[in-house]
Amino acid sequence: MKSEERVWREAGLRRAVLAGDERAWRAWYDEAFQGLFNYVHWRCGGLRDLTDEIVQETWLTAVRRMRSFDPWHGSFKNWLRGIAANLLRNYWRQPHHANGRLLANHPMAPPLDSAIVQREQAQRIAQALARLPERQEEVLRAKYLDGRSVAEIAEEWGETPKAVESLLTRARQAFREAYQPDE
Amino acid sequence: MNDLPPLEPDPLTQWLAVSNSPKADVDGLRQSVLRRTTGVLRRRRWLRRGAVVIALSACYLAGAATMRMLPPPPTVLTVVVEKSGAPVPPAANDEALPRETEPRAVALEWNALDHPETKVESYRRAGDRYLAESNDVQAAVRCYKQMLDAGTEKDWTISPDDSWLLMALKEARQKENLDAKRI
Repeated sequence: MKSEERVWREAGLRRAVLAGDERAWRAWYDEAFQGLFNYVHWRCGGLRDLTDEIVQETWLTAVRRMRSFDPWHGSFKNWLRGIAANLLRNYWRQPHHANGRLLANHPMAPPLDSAIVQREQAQRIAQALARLPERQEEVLRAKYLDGRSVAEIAEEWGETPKAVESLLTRARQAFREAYQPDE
Repeated sequence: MNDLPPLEPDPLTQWLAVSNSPKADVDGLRQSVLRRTTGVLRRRRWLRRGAVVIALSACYLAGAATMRMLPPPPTVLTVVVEKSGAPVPPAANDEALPRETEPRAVALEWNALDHPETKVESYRRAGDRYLAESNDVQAAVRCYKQMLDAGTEKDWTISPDDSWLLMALKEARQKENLDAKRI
């Protein structure tokens, strides 16, 4: 969809939703739900319970703050991802989450030791992703979540494939370093 | 070699596994979040309608209060003016009935000439009839003048039964008389 066409469509949907049109909201929701879920699932390192919680909070925040969404500044999909990223950042900032132990005691967590280890690894992945600079997180997302090639990313961002490849290398390295557990 | 601890799996490999994991079953979450967000929209719509109703009610009450504070409009007095020639329905006790049997103004005037002993009363009644029947002021003045000329000072006293014209003529006659006495 062309950028201008996308802006006008989303501006119309926004107006309809603000007027309380449930059908417009449903259409928009259905269109964006899976993409947001995949993004949050990826950012949560595959932790399903955390993913569900963040996805739910993201949508509720979106519908409550619809007035602040500006289609001229960015797409609805990116706006939702921004909300989800903020929620995750806040989540990991809380001390009892940052130590990586609380979710192991979560009522939804499986009681087996192997499951607990698995969850801790997933938490570390999620926390490592949350620590990355925005640009590095974006290039990893474009490459591994959206499945785009380096050439496609370079074309979309208006950069050379070499620059994107370099950024991707730095992002991978930063991710590995962020993943290392604190001593 | 077998005693070496196992290598920790590469975090990037784990993360790629997460990002490439098969689509999770999200229908339950999708429906649940949709219900909650639709509920928010619905509440917002009702709140907006409620606000409109409250605003309209406030306008109505403000208007009613303003009207109550204003002074009451002046009472309209209805004045019915009966034309002299207008037909009057006959009534058993109506005083007008005997008057119908009275002689006409011209006859009364002739009667005053024929019977000098009652001419004061005859001229007065003739003047009244001229005024009442045909609003003939000139003829009424003539009769009243004859009456005042023929009468005494007692007849010049203004009475409540007198017509407006006779009252004016009596007052003028009294003034003339007073002025004459002064000279």
